[in-house]
Amino acid sequence: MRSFVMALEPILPSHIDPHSVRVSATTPLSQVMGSIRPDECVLVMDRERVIGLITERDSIRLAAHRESWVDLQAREVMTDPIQTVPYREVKQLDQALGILRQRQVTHLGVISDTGELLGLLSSDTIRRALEAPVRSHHGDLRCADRLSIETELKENEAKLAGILDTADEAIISINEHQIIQIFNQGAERIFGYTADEVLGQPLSILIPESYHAIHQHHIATFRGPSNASKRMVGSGGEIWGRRKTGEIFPAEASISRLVTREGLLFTSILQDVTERRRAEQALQRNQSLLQKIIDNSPSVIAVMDPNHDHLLVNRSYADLIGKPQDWIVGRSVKEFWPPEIAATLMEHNRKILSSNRPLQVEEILPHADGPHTYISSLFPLQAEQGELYAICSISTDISDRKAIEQLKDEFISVVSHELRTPLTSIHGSLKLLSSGHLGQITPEGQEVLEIAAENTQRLIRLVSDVLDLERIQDHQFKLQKEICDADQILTQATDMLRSLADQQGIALEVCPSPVQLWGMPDLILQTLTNLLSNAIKFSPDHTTIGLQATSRESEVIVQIQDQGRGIPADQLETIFERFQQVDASDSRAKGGTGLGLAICRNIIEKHGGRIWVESRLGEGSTFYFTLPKAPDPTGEEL
Amino acid sequence: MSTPQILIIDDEPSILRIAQLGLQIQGWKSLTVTSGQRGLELAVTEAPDAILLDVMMPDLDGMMVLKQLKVDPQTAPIPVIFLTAKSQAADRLKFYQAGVSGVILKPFDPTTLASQIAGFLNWDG
Repeated sequence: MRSFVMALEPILPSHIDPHSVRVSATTPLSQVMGSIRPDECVLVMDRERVIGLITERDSIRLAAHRESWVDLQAREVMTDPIQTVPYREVKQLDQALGILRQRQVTHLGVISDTGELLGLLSSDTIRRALEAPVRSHHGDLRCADRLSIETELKENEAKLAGILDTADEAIISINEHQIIQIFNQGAERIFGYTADEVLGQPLSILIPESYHAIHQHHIATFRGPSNASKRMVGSGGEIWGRRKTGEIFPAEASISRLVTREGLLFTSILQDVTERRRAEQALQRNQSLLQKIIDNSPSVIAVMDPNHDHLLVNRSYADLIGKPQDWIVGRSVKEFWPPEIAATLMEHNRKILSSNRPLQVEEILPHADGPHTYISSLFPLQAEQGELYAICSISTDISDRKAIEQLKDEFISVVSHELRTPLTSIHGSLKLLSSGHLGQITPEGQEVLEIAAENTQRLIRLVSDVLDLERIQDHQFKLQKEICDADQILTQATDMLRSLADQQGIALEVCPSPVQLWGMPDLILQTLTNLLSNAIKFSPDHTTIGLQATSRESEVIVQIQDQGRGIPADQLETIFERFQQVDASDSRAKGGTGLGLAICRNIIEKHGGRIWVESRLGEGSTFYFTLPKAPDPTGEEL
Repeated sequence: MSTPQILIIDDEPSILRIAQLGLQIQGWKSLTVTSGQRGLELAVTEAPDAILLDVMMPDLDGMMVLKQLKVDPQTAPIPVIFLTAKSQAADRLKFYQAGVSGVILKPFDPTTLASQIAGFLNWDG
């Protein structure tokens, strides 16, 4: 440890060794290697000029390489240029040692003010000088001075020991025979040995057997400048240690080499990275889990940064593009999507960036067999600080579903139209027959005709309801909204059903409702007449049905209240579905189609409103629907 | 007004026959054709008092027949009533804008067909 210690000793010309071995630049290396002594170096001369030097370090390097160096010449391996320093700058030993450390060299050329090489200054020379104050040329160093130096030495050693022991890392030094010289408290914690147990023991007790060979190789090839440290890594980026318990653990270490009087000292600063490795493995496992999950999803999944560059894509995405996943990652959507598609995708990304909210959109993406329709869920990904760093998009191919929907729509439309023509003929024929104009018919015949006529009517209503539902559900169907007086439209609806109500002695009462409705008049009227005819159908004779529209903050609520038999609680929702009636026999007895409320719901939802019913069995039901108010007083859609 | 003569154009023969019978029991006369093209010819040669015209027909549909009737000065004055399954207000508005005098929805009651036509045309019958 003494080599760490600095002393304030002036540098004397005697410290500068002018008698180094000198060889010519063309001297064969085999000759040079023979003349080099430990801790010394050879000056390489060109005529009278020093042009480089070969140090012991160079000899170690060459030996480690085990290459055929015999044929080389001195100038091919020498260190050039020589680090030099003017003599006046190294008047003190500590200055010289400082420069050697700072420049990470073992030898310094000392030059005069005129540039003449006075000699070489080596760490070894300095050490020797430090050791020899007693027999120094001056010979006048007093005992007190020596004592002070020794005290200082001890203090420094104590300081160093403190540093060694407070370090979290294991600090282990070995000599050139790989015998452990220093073993700090960090090392005791990590390896589980006490210093007493390992000092003087071979390093191999701290290394797994399987790793011995590799470690030997590390030692052999370690060739950094002495006193300099380097990171030590094995294959796979890690080295391994063995605890007293036999447990083997991953570690990271840096190693430095120091030339001391006792010989070479290798010091390793080592960290136990078990926890870090475990965390890294968990992270890796999570990443691979995520990748596996998304790769096995039939959906097309991509994560893009705010510049539309891909951060992560799944296999479906790569298959769609026809490029490997790692090719896509790091590239912008602009690089492989056709321009118009890239523009749409970027537009969607920008929407997420500006709103910071999830978005669901339909996207058309090209396939080999033509464009496919996707339903895409996009959502922002935020860092812990809330900063939006990426957009994730999950797109599902709904082309098949779309095609089926279209086929179904067409089918219903064709069937309905094809049904209507023969129905018109049957209906007309029955009307003509029952009118008696084509000849008298027996009372029984008349009865049968009426059954036929009634059922024909029912079939006609069914076809027309199916068509209505189809029309409203059609995505291309656009509402043409108008402002209309609630009073007027409620009265119109009651007028249409007045005669039906009169037959049962049911009173229809419209509460004055001076509010305005914002909707498509035809469809609002259809909703009202559907609800009203239902109310009439299910009301006992001589009861009252009330209609009212009231204004709320942003919507108008319309209610139709009857005193009928009511609806069971478990059916309050389902009656709005197709062909769902409270009682299956209702369909026959009341002549309904089972589509009336489904049509109502579709109409109201298309308007952005809600429809529901509240009911008490035996006391009656109240149907409600809401319509949003017009966005501005002029009634023009924004 | 003397016995009206109505030209009925519909691609469905059974509907033609029922409409014809409906008018006949009211003592009205009628001519029936199953194509728009033939209907246009008869409108010129027979000069009916009114035309009952189906909207959805193959080849020449009701709207096209109506346009041609209204372009020809000879047939332009003849009132045209549509016979259609299209019950939407928007459709009806479009029909009236094209110049029809009335719209009768399918399925229709043949026994009141004559009075419906008379109602649209303000015939006192």
